[in-house]
Amino acid sequence: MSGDELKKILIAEDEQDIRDIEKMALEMLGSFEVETCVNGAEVQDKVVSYEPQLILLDVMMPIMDGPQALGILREDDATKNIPIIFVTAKAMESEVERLISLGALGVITKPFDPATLSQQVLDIWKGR
Amino acid sequence: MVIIVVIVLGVNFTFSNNLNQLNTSWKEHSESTLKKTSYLSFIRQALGYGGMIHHYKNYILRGDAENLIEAHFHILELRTFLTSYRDIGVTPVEENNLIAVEQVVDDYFYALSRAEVLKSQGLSVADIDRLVIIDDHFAFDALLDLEHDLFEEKNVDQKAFSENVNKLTNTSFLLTIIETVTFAFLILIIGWVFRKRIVDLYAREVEEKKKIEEERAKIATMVNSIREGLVTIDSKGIVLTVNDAVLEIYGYKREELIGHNVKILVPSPHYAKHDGYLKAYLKTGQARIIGSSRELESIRANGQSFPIYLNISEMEVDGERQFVGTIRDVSDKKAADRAKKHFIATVSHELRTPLTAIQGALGMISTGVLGSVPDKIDSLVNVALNNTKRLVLLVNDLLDLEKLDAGEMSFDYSEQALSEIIGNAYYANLPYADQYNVKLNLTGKGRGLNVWADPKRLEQVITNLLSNAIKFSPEGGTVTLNFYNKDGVARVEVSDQGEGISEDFQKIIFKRFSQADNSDTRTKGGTGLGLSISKVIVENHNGIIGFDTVEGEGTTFYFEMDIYKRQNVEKVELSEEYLNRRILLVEDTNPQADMLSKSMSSYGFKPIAVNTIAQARNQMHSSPIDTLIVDLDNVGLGKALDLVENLRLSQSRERFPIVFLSEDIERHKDLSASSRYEVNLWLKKPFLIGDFLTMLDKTIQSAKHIKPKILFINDDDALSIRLKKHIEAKASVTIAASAQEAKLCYDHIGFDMFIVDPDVMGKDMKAMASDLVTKINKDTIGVVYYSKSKVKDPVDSFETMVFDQDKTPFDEALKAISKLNKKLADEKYGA
Repeated sequence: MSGDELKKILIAEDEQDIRDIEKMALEMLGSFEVETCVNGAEVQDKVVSYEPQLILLDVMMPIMDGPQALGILREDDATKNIPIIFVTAKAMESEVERLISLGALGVITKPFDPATLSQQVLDIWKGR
Repeated sequence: MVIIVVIVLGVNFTFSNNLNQLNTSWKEHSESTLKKTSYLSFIRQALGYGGMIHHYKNYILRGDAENLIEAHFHILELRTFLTSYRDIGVTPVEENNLIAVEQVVDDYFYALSRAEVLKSQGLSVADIDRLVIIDDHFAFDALLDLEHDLFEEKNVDQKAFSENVNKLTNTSFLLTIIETVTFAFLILIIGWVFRKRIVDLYAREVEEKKKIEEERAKIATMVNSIREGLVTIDSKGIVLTVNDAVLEIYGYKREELIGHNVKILVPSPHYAKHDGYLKAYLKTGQARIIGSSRELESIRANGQSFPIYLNISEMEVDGERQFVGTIRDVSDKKAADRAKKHFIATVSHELRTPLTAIQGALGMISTGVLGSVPDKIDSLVNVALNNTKRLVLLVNDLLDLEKLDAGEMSFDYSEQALSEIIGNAYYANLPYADQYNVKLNLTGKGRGLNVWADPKRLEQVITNLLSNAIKFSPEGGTVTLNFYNKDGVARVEVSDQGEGISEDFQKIIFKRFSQADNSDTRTKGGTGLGLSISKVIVENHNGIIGFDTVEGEGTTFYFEMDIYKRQNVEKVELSEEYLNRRILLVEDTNPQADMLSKSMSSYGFKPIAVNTIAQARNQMHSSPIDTLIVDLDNVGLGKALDLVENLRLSQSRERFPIVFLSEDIERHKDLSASSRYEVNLWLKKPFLIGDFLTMLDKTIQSAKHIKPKILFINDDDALSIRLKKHIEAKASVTIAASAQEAKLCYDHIGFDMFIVDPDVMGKDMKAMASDLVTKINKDTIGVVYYSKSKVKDPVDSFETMVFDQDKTPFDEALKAISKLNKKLADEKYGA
């Protein structure tokens, strides 16, 4: 992890529309630097090439879903400390608790408000 | 009838008057001869063609009731004629002939009865004819004789008294004819009535049989058209009847079930036990399944097991106990439930994905960071955005409802300041009120009111009431949020100045998707689910929700719930000894259970909180505990009961309180009904911490009053009886007269004190004592030696007393024992 100020975010999201809006909201309203990929497997490559400070991980994705991706990241010493925020459409409290118990830093539920997304991310980041 | 009798009597009277006028004997004689002649002709008629014999033969041929009745009628007729004949006065020769006729009539009477029996046995006409033989020529011979004699008599008389006879016969013949005809008529009527009654009775019987058959067929059709399976079994479990639905559900043929044991429908773990269940029930009369419905597994003919709802009721048929089982195949319902759940989970996810994109896109435009948008477009973007948000709310409400229906909505209760929840809801709704140009007031004297609540859920209720009130207020109107202590309950009110609620709508306002009229949905927004969700939430808080409304003036919605009284807890007087109890708390890591140990600590307890059974065992091994509290929802009933068994045995303290907690405590209690180990308190979650502490206190107190157990090892019966008498009120005494007995008792019952004569125990004493030292906390066990010989090396790690039987009388020793007993009891169960 480089520095305390959040700058570099990686988004993993299979739905292109949502991916674009997430990226746009974070870049335009939060002035973050954002890279995207479309599933958990791609996350493994991007982590190495891009070295993000934080990953926004969609839960349900084809090929490799969010929790699987998290598990693999946690196995590798180089990546095990990267904070992860899950983004999920399942809003049930039990689901949120389950995701937190997997070792996520926080959970953002869909649909999110693009106007406040950056602030939400920052709040969770500060609570590390 | 009466008329006929009167006529007969009148005729007779006239006749006898006439007779008196003819006062000569020959006149009478001729008269009787005439009468006899007419009777004979009647008898011949009743006997022959168209009479008894004729109908008898017809009956044999056809076997019908008609001919049977006719035959009987003629028999009756014949007997009457014969009696009448005889009444006129007869000679011995005549009498013999009459007897002969009578004999034949009797023969026919018996033959008729016999034939009836044979007919009913299904014999053929030829067989009956062969078996029932009557010789009736005697009757006709006798009749001929009688007729002949009368004819002879008549000839003799005619010569001698022709004139008089002529005279007489003219009168009397007429009279006799009248009398006889009347008499015969009378008999005919009686016979007709008699016959009609028999025919009626027979017809009624046939009718009733038909009705019963019809009824039976109707019930059978009904039973077979029921979609639920019906099985009746006897007290041995043998299937007596099944309806069509059973065959359909299970795939058996009727004959594969009837006469077989019903347990072929029961899957393997219960299969072997079913006979036992039934026997136990018949013996004890106790079975939870009788009269109540429950879900079970059952097994089809093809071996496939499936879920059923089973209801068993009991009945008595001819003094035999029988059971009726109603079986409903719920595999479809289960599958449907699963599908519904899956559908809702999927839909909510699938709906959210596009909604996220739409709301995101519109949201980005409306922030303005992409550049300014012309006003007209901007207002349309806002329309789209607002409706997207509404759609999101609807999806959320649907999910909430599904969770409520499935009983899966979790409530995170804790002690809450009502004012804080009210405040949050108030501030959250101010912008919404502004939007509708409605003034939102907050009043109330409810500061300091605490409630036991899930703050998020309660805020959801208040927000729902507020947004409804705001939506339906006139522009410039005021909505007031008020909360106060109303006669000991916390009451929250939301009042508006709207139009009030129409009477029709009042009835359905808490039902789902109910809105005053559909136009409301479009103009005001909302899903129509808010109030029904609010109702469930309030009811989950043990509260009530309602409204008062005046049409044209406004509506006040309110809910009320218990004030959480912390004072109660502070009143519980907790002594030092009580607070220092070593309480082992086996609980979940979730916030609710965590709160329990925190709350207990805040009241001075020092609970030892662990998360697993293994940790609990470790704690128990390192040092004994005084109270065990287990959260069954965390560790599971089976493991909890294992722990209790382990504890009760290893610590030999069978009486300290054990508390089980669960959200589904009734089921757990039922399931552990057969456990040997007592659980002192079953508490349903969620509970108020104050209630919990009060209950815990009571449980500890009541456990204290249980007597300590003493094992008296001595072979002197007299001493044993004296000891028992003396301290029975304060302790329960078990007597062992030998080492073997003592060991047996010791292995199976925990004791607090031994009073022992070492001579009885020998080497075993030493072994048992050292065993005790390792097994049992030394503080709570006492050993009293009462011995004739000198005690060589008493176990000194216990409270030990040594008495020499020769020096100390038993009564004196008893006093000391009582003191020790009291001390042990105090130490163990608290002062």
